[in-house]
Amino acid sequence: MRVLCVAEKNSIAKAVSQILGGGSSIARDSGYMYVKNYDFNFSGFPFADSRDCQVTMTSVAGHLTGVDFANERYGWGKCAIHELFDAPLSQTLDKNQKKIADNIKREARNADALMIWTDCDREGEYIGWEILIEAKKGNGSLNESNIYRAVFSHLERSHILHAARNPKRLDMNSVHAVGTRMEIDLRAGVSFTRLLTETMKPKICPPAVGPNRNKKKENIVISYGTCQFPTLGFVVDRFERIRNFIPEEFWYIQLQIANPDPNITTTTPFQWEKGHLFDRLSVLTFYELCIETAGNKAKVIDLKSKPTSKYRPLPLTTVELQKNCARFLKINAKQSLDAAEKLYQKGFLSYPRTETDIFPKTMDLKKLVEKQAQLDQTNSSNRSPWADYAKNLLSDNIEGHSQFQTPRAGTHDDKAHPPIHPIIALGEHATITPVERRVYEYVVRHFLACCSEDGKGTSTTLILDWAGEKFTATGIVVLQRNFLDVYPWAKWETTKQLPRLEMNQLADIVTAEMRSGSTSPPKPMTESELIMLMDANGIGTDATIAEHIEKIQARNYIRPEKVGKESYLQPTTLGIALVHGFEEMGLEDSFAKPFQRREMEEDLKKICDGIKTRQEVTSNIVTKYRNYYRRTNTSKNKLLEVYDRVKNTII
Amino acid sequence: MSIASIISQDITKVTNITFNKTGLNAREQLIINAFENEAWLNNLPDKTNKVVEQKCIKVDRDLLFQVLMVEQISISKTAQIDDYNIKLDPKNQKVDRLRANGTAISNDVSKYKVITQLDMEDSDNFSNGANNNTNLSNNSLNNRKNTVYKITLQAKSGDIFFAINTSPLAWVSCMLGSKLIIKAGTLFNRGVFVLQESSVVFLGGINRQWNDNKETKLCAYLKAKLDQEHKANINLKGSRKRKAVQ
Repeated sequence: MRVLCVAEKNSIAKAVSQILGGGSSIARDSGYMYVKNYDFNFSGFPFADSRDCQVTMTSVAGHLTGVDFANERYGWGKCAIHELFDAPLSQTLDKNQKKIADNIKREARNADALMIWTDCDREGEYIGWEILIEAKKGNGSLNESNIYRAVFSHLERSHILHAARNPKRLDMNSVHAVGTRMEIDLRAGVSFTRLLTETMKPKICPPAVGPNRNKKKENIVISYGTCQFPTLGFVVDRFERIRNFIPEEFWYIQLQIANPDPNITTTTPFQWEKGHLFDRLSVLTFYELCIETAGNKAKVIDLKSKPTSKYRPLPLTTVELQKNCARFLKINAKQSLDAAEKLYQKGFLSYPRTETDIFPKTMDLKKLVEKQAQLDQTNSSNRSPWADYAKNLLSDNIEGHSQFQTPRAGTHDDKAHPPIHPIIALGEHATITPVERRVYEYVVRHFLACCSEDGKGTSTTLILDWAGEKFTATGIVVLQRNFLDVYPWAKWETTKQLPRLEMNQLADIVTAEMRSGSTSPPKPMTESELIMLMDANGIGTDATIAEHIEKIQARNYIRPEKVGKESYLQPTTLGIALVHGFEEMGLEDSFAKPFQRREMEEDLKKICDGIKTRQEVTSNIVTKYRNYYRRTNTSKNKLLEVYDRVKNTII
Repeated sequence: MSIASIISQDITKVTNITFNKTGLNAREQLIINAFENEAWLNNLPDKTNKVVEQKCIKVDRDLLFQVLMVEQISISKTAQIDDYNIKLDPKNQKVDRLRANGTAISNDVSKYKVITQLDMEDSDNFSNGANNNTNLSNNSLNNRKNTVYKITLQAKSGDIFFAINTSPLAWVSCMLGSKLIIKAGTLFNRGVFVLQESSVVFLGGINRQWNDNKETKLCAYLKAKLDQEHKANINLKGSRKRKAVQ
């Protein structure tokens, strides 16, 4: 029996064929430089009754086909823009995609079965379907009964073997959901991009003549994307919040308490339970009443010491990875995801696109920790800085309990991939880039932290009563650092000692002050914050968030601004004008706010769950966009007006 | 004239009434006494200046007031205006922030609900202020018992006083125009009554006109107040600077 296997990328095809072929696969050219065909024998497929099969494993390179309008009829300037809402769509293949498709057709010709090995997510499911279409063109006998889907999330040997031995089917609902998304994004994207560019381009770069013509500038495109605009909206909203910020004064009361021990001369500040109040007269009233009625004595009414913990992180999701790499390592979202992707392809990490923050019960995490302990490395200079920590984690503590802990369980499970974790240890001479090395280190340390105990300490709280008003001071003593030793980004320190006071004791107030302060504006948007906002509001997927942020930078809607060590995202005049322009047309909730996109995302989920059909969702949303288009087209001068206004007021 | 008429109308407009005091229950008796008692600090000469000099005195009789305004002073005006905007105009709400407590959002149109609840615990654990919340309320759930309100009260004489609460008051989200009795023994300091649950008998009542579009009006009030304070601050800074130059 001959089986054709197709993965999403060459690196996966190579790794899988190494495993299934027992290391004896032979590579052939495919006709496209970056894809190889790997031939080997494998006897584990249940559909072949585990008999020996001749397997060819090949791959695509991401999407195999594109969706577009026919250029001759619907190209830019060749049709009225509104026609694009109904225009027929056609599959397109560029030069390279054609080569890959030809290879699949050729290789499918003699196959008795097809097994799809694309990544196990919605997009992968769709790519699987694209492969299936091409394969069928090469071999008419391929049909539902002999097309299979391998379900896997990393490239560890036993996991891959299990996937090969337990094939499933393509999930057509997911395929339809992606098809819907692509169609809507295309129709809305192309029509509004043409409209915006035609409207605003002459304004932004008036056509120049003469020798100084800047060709690059003339190619400017003002694009619209259903995710791009809400992403821009977050940045503009923050910008406006800062621009319009008015500081407000607040007042509060603070007590300084002496330590009864005469050897300790420093005082301890106690904070008012009522916090900050935005009214001076009210705070003055409290302050005067307390002084009048209780003078300079405050009574200890609560003294509690209790064990406290600093929680170890939850298992790692894509969004957390991107957020934390941006925050802790100053690596931007696109770079960190790209690096994680490469590390996955090289077999060092598990699949880096996951929403799951809970490890499956069946996973042998201790074994993964063992790999990080690098017990086989005798030369200590070859071991990672965290190897000793990992080794220690596998041993028992003084009381004879295992130090290894089952990770905390989050509440998200995408049912496809486990949280991101390291697969194998990184040898010193592994060929990876410096950024990949840092991302790898982050993932490993995060993973080891997950498998460690929480930081342990004691927290003591002292509450004083001063004429009925309560004042608190809290002190922490860190007893066991545990995960903090391997996760340097979490800070938890022992604080200054509290005064030694007993319950009901009257403490001497050294100073009682009425103080004031004022609110400060929020910081400009950081990339990690933007990632969190996009994720929480359903803009983009964990895999595409980074691309959208890149895109609106490339379009010059936002630009990075470095202040000290921190890098902020600021909107440009064009970016601000686009957001406010749509607001003034009354289309804010459909363009610059996350509402419309999120609604669509919910609809896509319903398609996946089989509750709605592709047709239903497409026709509903496309009709909406057609109406938005009509409205925008009739009041497009608004966009220009707003642009001028923004330009004059902001710069 | 009935007791209901005291509760249901603007007490500054109730004039020349006599009550038939026979057969009244204790509560009714209390209301009438409070209404008839001499207005607070009524006989101070040069009232406005003297009132703020009255430090830490105890109220010696029950006093009837109507509520003109209730202001939350534990939260910045900016944050309150934000909350009103979300309620009044959800489509235009600012979306650049994760809301740590679901309380800020209370609209029925689920489409416009921006992020419900986020597990901020983790982020908070590790964050060094990545989420800058300087402007948000310090009024999280477990903190609500510490929320302070500044209440503006009016006596039948038309005199206006403030009140603040030292502990939670169950009736504080009342309608404007509600009537209440501040009981003898309550502390008063420089124009401000200091209230707790036990020092007040809340009577209810409403002034319809004052409550029409209450949220819109309150939002506009906060915006105006914020602007005013801002301008005053700018002027203050300006004058300080000039002094420095001299």
